[in-house]
Amino acid sequence: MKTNEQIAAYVFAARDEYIRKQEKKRSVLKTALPLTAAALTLVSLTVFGAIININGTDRSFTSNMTVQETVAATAIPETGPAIYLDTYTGMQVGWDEMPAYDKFRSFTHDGKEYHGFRHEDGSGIIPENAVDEKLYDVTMSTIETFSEKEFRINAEVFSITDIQPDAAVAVRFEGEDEYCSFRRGDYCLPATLGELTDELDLMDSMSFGNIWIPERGMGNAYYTYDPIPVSADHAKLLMQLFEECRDIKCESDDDIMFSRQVFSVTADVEKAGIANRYIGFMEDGYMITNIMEYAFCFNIGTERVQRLEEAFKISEQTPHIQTFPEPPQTTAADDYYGEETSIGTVVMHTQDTMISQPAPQTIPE
Amino acid sequence: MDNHADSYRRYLDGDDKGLVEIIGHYRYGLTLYIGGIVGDICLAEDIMQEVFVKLAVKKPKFGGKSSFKTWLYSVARNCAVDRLRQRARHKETPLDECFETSDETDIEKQYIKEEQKIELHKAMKRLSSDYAQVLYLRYFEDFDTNEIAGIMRRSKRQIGDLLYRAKKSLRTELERAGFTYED
Repeated sequence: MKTNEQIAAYVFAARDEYIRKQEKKRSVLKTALPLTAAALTLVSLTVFGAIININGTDRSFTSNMTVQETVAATAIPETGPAIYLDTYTGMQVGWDEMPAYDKFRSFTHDGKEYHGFRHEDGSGIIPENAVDEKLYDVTMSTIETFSEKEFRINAEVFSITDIQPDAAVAVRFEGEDEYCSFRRGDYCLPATLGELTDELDLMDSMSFGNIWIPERGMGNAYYTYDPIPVSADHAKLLMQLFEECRDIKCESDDDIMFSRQVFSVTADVEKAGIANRYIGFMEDGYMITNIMEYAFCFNIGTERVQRLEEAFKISEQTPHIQTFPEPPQTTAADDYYGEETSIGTVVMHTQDTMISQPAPQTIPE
Repeated sequence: MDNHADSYRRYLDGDDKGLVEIIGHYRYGLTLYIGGIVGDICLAEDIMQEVFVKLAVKKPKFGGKSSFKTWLYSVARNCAVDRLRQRARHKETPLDECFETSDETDIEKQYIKEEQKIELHKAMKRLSSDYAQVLYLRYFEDFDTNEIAGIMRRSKRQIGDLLYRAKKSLRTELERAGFTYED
């Protein structure tokens, strides 16, 4: 393993090599080029700003002069491979090639904050036939982390058919054809499941993927299940549930200690650019979804969860079983709380509190 | 007090020891964090060094809008993502030797130290890059949600949800590794 001193030596060697090369370049320019060549060099500089006269009117622009310069390649002798440094701008290499949706990921309009969900994997695109009317123009800004330079872009914001703009909008960046999904980012719990359903037009737009049964460990056996594709009958039952539970209040997950998850379902709302979101059904009667990125919780009741569990035949699914030689013994102290799993004689918890708690000082017998 | 912002200012004023202090304090944490992004400890060490070279050579301005640590981790993330893009665009000539690079276990023992946390870190490596990153930043580097949002360039709310899903996935990984789950 390299020592701190070795890393520091490598870093300072790179710095010194870079300085040497810069000084060498400057001295070549000074001594090797005759005056006329120097004048030609000046002319060849690309200047993106000047004071010009057009039709007798002076117009001034902010000067942004760039110099054509090759990327400095610094070879580190003896101790390491060659490395390639940033260009003159000192910005993240590849910044110019990054797509707009990657650079500009949020905006605020009328006190409401929206965040972008268009990703490199192609998710978060709004189909053109779902784009409705133009709402407003917006200018987004972002700061390039390394240079702390600010960039801006103009964009048009459109509503999505039958979806509340307060929940999601379609954004088209200047010079592009694609519509990107932007969703409300600041904390905005819907009052009820009905409000969420109406905001996202779920009754007509939500589709489902698979039913997932959580993996379990019990004794010296471990159970896993294949996903169950959601059939038309399953989908109908789920939509009936959403209709039936319209008035159930939405709760934040901040203060809820959830029980065991019975099963979950994946859901999409294609026209809002929402893909592969989670709807989980808990043993204590909660339904939780991250369809709007934040966990929305609805206490639909144990009876409804059991009804779906029976209809989806969850308990009839055949698991794949893996067995282990012998069950580990838990050695948790009596005053530990929460869920725990064990590795040999070491106890581990699977909640936040675990990692911030000190390890037990003694292992009780 | 943000001492390493001070170390960096000293370096900018000409005191190389300032940068040495920063290297000593952050090298392991950065390596493990970058490893979560690129999935290769050898490459992660290379990128970690590149981060410090950039500070040494380019001397970027630290504006103080965030903590120095948050800023440094943002730079590291950019370097890692940038290197992944370069590798996708250009076929890299592999190094003839990866001399003096560390086994990840050595770094874990040196930096994380606690056995429990080391086991957790090993389980985290089997998660997706986003999950591994957010768990590492939250529970191994003690960043809060706002700071993680700044580093990963997401909203605070997205980070909250990412943490929730990451913990769920981590639980599954721990169980998959053969640990019992008690109700």
